[in-house]
Amino acid sequence: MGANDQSLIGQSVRRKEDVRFLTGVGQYTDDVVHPHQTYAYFLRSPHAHAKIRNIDTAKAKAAPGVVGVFTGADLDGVNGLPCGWLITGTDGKPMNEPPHPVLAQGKVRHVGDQVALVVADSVLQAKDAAESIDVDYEVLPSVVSCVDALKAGAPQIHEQAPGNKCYTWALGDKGAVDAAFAKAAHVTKLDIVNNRLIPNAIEPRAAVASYSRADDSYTLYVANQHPHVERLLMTAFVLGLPESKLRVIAPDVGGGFGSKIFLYAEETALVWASKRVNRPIKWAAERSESFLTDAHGRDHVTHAELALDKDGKFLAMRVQSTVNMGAYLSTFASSVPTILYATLLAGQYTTPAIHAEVTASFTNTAPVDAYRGAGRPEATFVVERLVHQAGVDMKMAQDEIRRRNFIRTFPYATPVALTYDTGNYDATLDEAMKMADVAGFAARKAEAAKRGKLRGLGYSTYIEACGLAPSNVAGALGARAGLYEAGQVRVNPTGSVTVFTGSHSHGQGHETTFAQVVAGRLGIDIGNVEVIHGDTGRIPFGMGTYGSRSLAVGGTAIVKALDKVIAKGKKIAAHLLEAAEADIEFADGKFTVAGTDRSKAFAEISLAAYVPHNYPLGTLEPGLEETAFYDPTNFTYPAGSHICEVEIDPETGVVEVVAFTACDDFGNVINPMIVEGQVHGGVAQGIGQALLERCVYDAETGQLLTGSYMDYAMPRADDLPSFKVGTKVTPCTHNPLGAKGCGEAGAIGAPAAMMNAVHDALLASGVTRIDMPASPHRVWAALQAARA
Amino acid sequence: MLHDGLAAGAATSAGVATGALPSHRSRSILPIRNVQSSSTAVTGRFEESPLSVQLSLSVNGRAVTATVDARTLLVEFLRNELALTGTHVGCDTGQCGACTVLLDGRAVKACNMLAAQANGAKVMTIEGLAAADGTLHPMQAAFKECHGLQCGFCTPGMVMSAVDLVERHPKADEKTIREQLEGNLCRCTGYQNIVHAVQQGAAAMAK
Ligand code: FES
Ligand code: FES
Repeated sequence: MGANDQSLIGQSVRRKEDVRFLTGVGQYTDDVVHPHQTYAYFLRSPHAHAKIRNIDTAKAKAAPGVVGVFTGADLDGVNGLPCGWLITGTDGKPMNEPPHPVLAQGKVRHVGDQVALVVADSVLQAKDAAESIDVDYEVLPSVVSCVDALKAGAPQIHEQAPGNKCYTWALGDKGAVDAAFAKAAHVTKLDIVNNRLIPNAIEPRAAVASYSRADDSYTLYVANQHPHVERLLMTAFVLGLPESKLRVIAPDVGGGFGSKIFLYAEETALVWASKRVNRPIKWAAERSESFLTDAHGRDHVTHAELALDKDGKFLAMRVQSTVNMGAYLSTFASSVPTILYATLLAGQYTTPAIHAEVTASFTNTAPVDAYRGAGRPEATFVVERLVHQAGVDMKMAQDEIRRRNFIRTFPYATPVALTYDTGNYDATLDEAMKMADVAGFAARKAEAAKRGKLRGLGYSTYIEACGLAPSNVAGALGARAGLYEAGQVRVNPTGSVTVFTGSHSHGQGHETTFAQVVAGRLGIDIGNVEVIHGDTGRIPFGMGTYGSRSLAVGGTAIVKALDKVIAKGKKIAAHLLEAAEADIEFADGKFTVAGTDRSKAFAEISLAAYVPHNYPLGTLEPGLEETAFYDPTNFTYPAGSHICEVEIDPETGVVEVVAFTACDDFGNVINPMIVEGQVHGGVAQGIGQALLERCVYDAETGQLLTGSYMDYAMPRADDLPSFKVGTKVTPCTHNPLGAKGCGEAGAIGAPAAMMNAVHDALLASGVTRIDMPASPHRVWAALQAARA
Repeated sequence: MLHDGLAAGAATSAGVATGALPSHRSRSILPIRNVQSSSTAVTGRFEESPLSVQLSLSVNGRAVTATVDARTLLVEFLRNELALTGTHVGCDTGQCGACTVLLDGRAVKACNMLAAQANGAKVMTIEGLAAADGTLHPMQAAFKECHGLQCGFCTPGMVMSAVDLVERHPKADEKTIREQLEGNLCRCTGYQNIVHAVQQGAAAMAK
């Protein structure tokens, strides 16, 4: 790294994107206005499970302002929505992959399933017309629990999935695990529910589709995290169009957290219909629709066991999970509770044998897919709850039982398919314990007890696999796509730089972080770097943003493109300075002949490249623009220690998070301010899961009971404390930035830390099990039951 | 968890009652007959509604007169008819605060009141907060400085709430700020940097 790197890398540069958001001139999808645009409204199923005997749209078609009414029967030649990851079951067969229609075909399978699309001059007219559509439903029994769905006699949701099973999949050496359990001194067992969550980005999903007769092409604005993948899936798999006929623009996007990765029916129907009505169509989800139809997260029911020797060394782990896919397979649904889950069950520990078996079922609920952390929070929750309970069972301090089992030699191959490249788990634990003042906890607990309150301390020493992903590894595991990233660096004639990235920012601040990387490497002013993302019409084919991959994978692609730019710059400089190319050095924005003061500024080189009057035209093309694709050689492994302190009022059951500390190792950090912000947000979502949030469907009717902000408890400012956040660094060994990723860590580590604190606080009262969320009612009832 | 400005009936605190809006229509793009602001005139696209009402109000310091369907929400009027899209819509139950604007200096949820209820009032949206020369309002500057925003979607409402909060509680401590922001949801930041921003913004506004 050159000298200028130091001036930008590691600096909390204030964000370039902020002014437009702070002055109200950001452009989110719902802000896009096309002349002559129409508005879409989706008529949705009020039933969890029903046959559609007939749909009568005659009245709706004749209603004022209506320009089109479409049902499943109209979608000739339109395929179902694809699933991007093939899981092969323990029976050697591919998972059951029932069709996922864009508009219902003869049956609806969850409340909110889309039945008809009405397009009209105004939303009101579209809604009025939709109300006049007569759907003759034959209501069927429904099932919402992933466990109940697998029971004999459960309502059958798809013909193609007998017994509602998607797959049973396993990872690990079962024989070795059984043998280790047979000789264990102690076995800790837990039953765990990982509560179902609704992502709730504050910007609801939205799309605006338009069709151009001039060149038979489409443009789609959509609140989405990876426009190229959206385009590929929609054109190649569903609509049967060449990709080149669809431009997908994901403009400013108001948060994603996974829920905007997926290809949804609504935007697909809009694109299709925009040609039929030959006018632009806008749709913005109402929050109620988001609750009903955004892909949900988590929803696991697990039995887990940990075998230990007499000294507290972990010998083996056995995990059995039943997981909910919802009514249809969403884009990456199948990979989340398998590839992104069971592979993380080693945690930070040397557990030599691990076996996990996962059964996925279909239910009459919204599809379930990746939500911040995606599989890794579920794995961490299993591991860290088990470790906590083992510490309690064996009367060992919580830090001690962890330290006895930490991995300390790298690279380390786990028994569940991953190889950790680097880490220092003692360092993050030591630091977190200092930051959390663990030494003073006993005194704080005693003081709380005087006030009649129960204090508890909980740890979570988590790991995640990020920087998705080596394409060949992912392919071998069933991915139907590559997972590289693309970056393009266009040096403009006077030396300003436009960077085109396949990564997508929906809050992560790429316009700033990536500009820091580029300005640092080129030794130019950060104000001269513009980062462009989110538009298939402008950026190279890229895989988008999820899995904490943007800097580690997308940033590396940019660095590789920069390397090419600098290499070409050296050739130009060698010509202009009449020196050998090998003698040209690049630093601080200058190309210099080594050992001399003869140099050319970066902008002089770029100008020469575009005004090649004195230029080696015979051997070198003019212009200064390079593209690179980067496919990582391994996952990255961010890890850290989270420590949560809670205080419980036994009279009311109210749990207060009084302190939360996170010390994380994200590898090298480009912008500490942005990284801290990511941790804050992730921790808030993790505490949200542990303390407040829970998606509930009525078991009888399949109605969503938590369908608004009045029923679904989002974390609000006064539910949370200020968090203490720190970092320790072991640079990633296999990308040039040494970066690991930070976007999901908070959501991964926090739930276990908090629930361990809750269990610690309640231990003396005899309470052994509280499921998430630790609501006052649950805690109070458990205390009452323990007293009785 | 009580909130004295926003969560509980913002429109009521502004001196008008919230009408009984059919919830399934709360985000409708409603027909509008005619809008005239001091610089633009938009001709209505739809037939005159029997329920249309005449409005005249000030928005970000400019006089606006319009005839709108009586059911038009203030947020719809601002976004769709005045193209002030900085005011966002994040829910349909009046709980996220993304739509917060100042009505006669007090924060209100613009999705929770009719445009008609703003008749005669002074409305300030996020677009009107910075100085004419582009200098950010101290609260906007504090949000930038403290990284009080990520995706930016909650931000306009959050900033407008914060401005109102500081007017009412110039010396608010962290606890008060957290309680006062209870009516504004942010899914990105975990609120910590928003709290810092409000503290820093309050100090700058006091100068
Ligand atoms: S849009 Fe007004 S409170 Fe949510
Ligand atoms: S910054 Fe994204 S919701 Fe607040």
